[in-house]
Amino acid sequence: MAKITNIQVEHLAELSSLELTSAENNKMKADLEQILEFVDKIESANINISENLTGKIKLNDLREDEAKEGISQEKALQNAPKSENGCYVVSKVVD
Amino acid sequence: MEYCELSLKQIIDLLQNKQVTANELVTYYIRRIKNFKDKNCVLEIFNDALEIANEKDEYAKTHENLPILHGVPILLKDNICYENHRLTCASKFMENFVSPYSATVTQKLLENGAIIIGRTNMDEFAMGGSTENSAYGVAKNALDDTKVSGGSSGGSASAMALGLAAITLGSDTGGSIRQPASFNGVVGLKPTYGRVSRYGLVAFASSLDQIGPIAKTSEDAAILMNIIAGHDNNDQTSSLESVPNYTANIDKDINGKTFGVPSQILKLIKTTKYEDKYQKLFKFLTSHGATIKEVEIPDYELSLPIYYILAPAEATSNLGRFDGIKYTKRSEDAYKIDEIYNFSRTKFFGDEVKRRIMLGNFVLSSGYYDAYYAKAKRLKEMLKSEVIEAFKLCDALLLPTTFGEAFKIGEKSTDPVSMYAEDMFTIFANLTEIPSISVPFEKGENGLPLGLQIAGKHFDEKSIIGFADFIEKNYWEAK
Amino acid sequence: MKSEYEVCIGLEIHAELKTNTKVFCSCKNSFGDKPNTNVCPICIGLPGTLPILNKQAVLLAMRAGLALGSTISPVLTFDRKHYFYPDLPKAYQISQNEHPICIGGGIKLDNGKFVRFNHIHLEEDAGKLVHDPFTDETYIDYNRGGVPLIEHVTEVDLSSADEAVEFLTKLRQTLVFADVADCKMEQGGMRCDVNLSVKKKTDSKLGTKVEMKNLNSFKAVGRAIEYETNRQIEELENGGQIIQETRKWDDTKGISFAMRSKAESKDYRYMPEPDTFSIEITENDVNTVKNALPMTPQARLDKYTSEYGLSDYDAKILISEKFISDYYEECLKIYCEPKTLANWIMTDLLKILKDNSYSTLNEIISAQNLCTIIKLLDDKKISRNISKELLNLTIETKENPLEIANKNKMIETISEDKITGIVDSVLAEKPELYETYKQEPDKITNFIVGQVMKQTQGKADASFVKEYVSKKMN
Repeated sequence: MAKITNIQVEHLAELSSLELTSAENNKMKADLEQILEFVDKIESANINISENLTGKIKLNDLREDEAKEGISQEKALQNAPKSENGCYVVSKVVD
Repeated sequence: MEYCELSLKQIIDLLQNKQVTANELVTYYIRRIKNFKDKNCVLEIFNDALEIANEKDEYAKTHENLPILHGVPILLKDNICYENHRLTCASKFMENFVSPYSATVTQKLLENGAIIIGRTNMDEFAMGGSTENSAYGVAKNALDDTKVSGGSSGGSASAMALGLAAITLGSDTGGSIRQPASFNGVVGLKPTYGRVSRYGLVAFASSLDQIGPIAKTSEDAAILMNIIAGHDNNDQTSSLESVPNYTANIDKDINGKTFGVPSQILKLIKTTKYEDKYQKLFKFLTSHGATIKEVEIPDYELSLPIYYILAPAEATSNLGRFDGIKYTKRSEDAYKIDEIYNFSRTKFFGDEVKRRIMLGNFVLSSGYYDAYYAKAKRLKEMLKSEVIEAFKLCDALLLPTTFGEAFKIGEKSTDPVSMYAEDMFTIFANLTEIPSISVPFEKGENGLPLGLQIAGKHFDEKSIIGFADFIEKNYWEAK
Repeated sequence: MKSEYEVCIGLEIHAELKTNTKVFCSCKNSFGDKPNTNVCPICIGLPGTLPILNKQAVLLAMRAGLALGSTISPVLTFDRKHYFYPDLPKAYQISQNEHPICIGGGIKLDNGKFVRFNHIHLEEDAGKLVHDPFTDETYIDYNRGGVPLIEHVTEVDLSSADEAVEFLTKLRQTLVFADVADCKMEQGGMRCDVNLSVKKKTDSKLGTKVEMKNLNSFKAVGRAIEYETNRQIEELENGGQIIQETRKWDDTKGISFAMRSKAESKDYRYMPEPDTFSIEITENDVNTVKNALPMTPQARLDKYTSEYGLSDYDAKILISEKFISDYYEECLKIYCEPKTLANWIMTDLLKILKDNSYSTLNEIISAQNLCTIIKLLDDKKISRNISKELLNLTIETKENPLEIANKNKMIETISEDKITGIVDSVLAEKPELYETYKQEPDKITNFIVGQVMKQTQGKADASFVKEYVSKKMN
């Protein structure tokens, strides 16, 4: 389990929306392998308690359906790297 | 005595008795922060602090009853939101971010009259144990420029030791309050999971994070806990458990109390250089009427592996929202939507953050989820039930906070696993959700402080604060 | 040969719940407002924010499940579903993977087939992306982000486009009648994805399935299914293979084409939501919701046909929309003539509804006013022709029809002269009545009143007749 392939690292980078150079890829591979080796200790661990599946919060204690003021459009957009016409702007998303 | 040497309690007394003005205090601390600029513990002094101090003083002129924290200057870790103020989580990604809202703890401090004077340095997104992972430079140890301040709340801890505010707040996911507190010779408390609202704390590992005080004294920590503890409707994981008076056990003795030391900890203490110091402390405690007992936590050693599965998994999930679109910087080279995500995240996240994001995705990805994440979750529950068992035999657990004194800057940063192993003593309390306080008790071979960790039963911060106070007044201060 | 094949269809249908606020924050759940004006730190995914579950969203999801015959889970938990897309502010959607709120249930089609739900789960909606055709940019609006959705996942039980459309129609009707969702497809209130595969009838194994998206109406669903079925059969007949993929439907062109999304990005890395604890749903909670369930369309249909004696056809029209059925029942409370009311609504009001831009019958004419007009007609105070004219005037002016009728002298009154004239002629024809009156005054009076009524189609004022008779006799 402690061995990772380069392809796996590439796949993880994709899932993470990160780009790695091949040198970084190799370093990441080595780092991850090292970490996984010590994390693999749980493989042999035995679980000796049963799973607790009872609800902790009562249905009736949940939030009431009353509308409250949020934040203004201006505040919502104040940190956007690009915004226009009240919206966040990104380059065209092609499906 | 200079203000930097005073405790929060003493500062409060001065303010309440109108023996000092808020303006005077804020001016003092700001000057001091500037004098210690090289320590790099404070990332920003808020430029409205003085103005607010003046407003407080105006208010005090016409009002008899002042709220408890009236005029008290406080520093917040750079991951706790304060409306209309910058927040970077020590990341380049958040360099331009101004928070549109305040955390619940921030609101509570402000409602009680406090003045937030600035934000402190930390490891980027709270990932690290030295503050070397800050995108804005490392925070130096308060007592030694060549040593780390610890992390991830390194800035808050060294700022507290240097007396740059009356008290500071940090956050703790795997030891991030306690370890830097230990390295800098101050008190750091991680509350029970759910004791303090996480609303407004930039999330790292949602099931482990807590905000807590880093203070000069245990009593100071208690005073702050009285204000920030309690249920919050904005945080469904916050507890409905009632809030006691956390100062109730100050100045109490430890006669008749039982302290448990897990057997694995006794073994680990032998691997530190300071076994004799711990033994000396245990003798001291027994001489004051306490009992020291060895207790069993059979799966203690699984703490690190469990943590390094759960924490990165939750972190990777929580960090997805930093995307170059809504409130972070965006890479200028990015054009297509994929590039906005990839270029921005790649360019502006630091290495340690990237490492944990990747590890987290590994642990959650299909094919590995059951073996890693799901199992680690169940083991966490198991560990929690083991500690509850152990607490049937003792009032609190004693353990070291760290292996030794603050290490040298650069010593561990190239080896992630050795850095992770530093967390061996602190992670346990996060996983089992128990409260834990670190109080300075000894000096190491280089004269730098060592902290003792006292961990308590769930929601029993009052007791461990009392024990820490006892050691502080009768053991540490006696040195 | 096409007839050798059968098509196997499963549907995934999202419906927006009609709560006041979003599922994890207190922002307004509303359509059509200015962009990013129904937002707060939570639903735009600001760092440090935490989800706060809306009780009403849970109750409506339970109601939907119960109306569809599902079992409700005793524990409610949520899971994070991770992927990067600009309309998803947190880069994960809070959904349900392990323990969906409703298990099973289904809908019976007219042909007797029972189409089963695998489950129904609760989740939050994403924001909206608007593409600018002139620039190369996309605008993001998070108003819709966080709106509560229930997703219904069916088993692969459907076998044709017609069945799918019927199923969707019935599902929509159930949800609307249960007061759970408005299901306005043009506002995105109901969305449907289709999973379709074909196989030879003799094969036991299912074929490779294709997912179809961008189906914006029930008709589009039908057309897309027809197209895709033919496409797949043709492909297989020509020796080709079906690729497992997502295809986008273009309704104008009538074709589907493969979407560019990569296969690997489908690893959603589900993780239990750590920011909320699990919620307990007791039997009591379920029963409370069950007992408050509004009458289902089927139950109303049964009532209209068995109790009110309406034809199946007529009853179906009345339950075709909840607002029609509700209006009908509101009228019945005022004036209980089920067949008459049904006629008026179907013949007159529905036509007006269709020809104009009204969205409810109350906008045309209030139930009270409609009943007033019908009663006037039934009481023979106005003729049928006048009643239609009165209806139009009432709709136009929105005034009280009784007042309108009086103002315009629409109510037929019989003049006193006419009455006396009739009484006189009756007495002239039968002079013996003067004698028999002396012994049985009441009987004779009633007889004469009856005669007057006969000759005035019941419009005469009976008390005046009696008064005059009495005068004449004495």
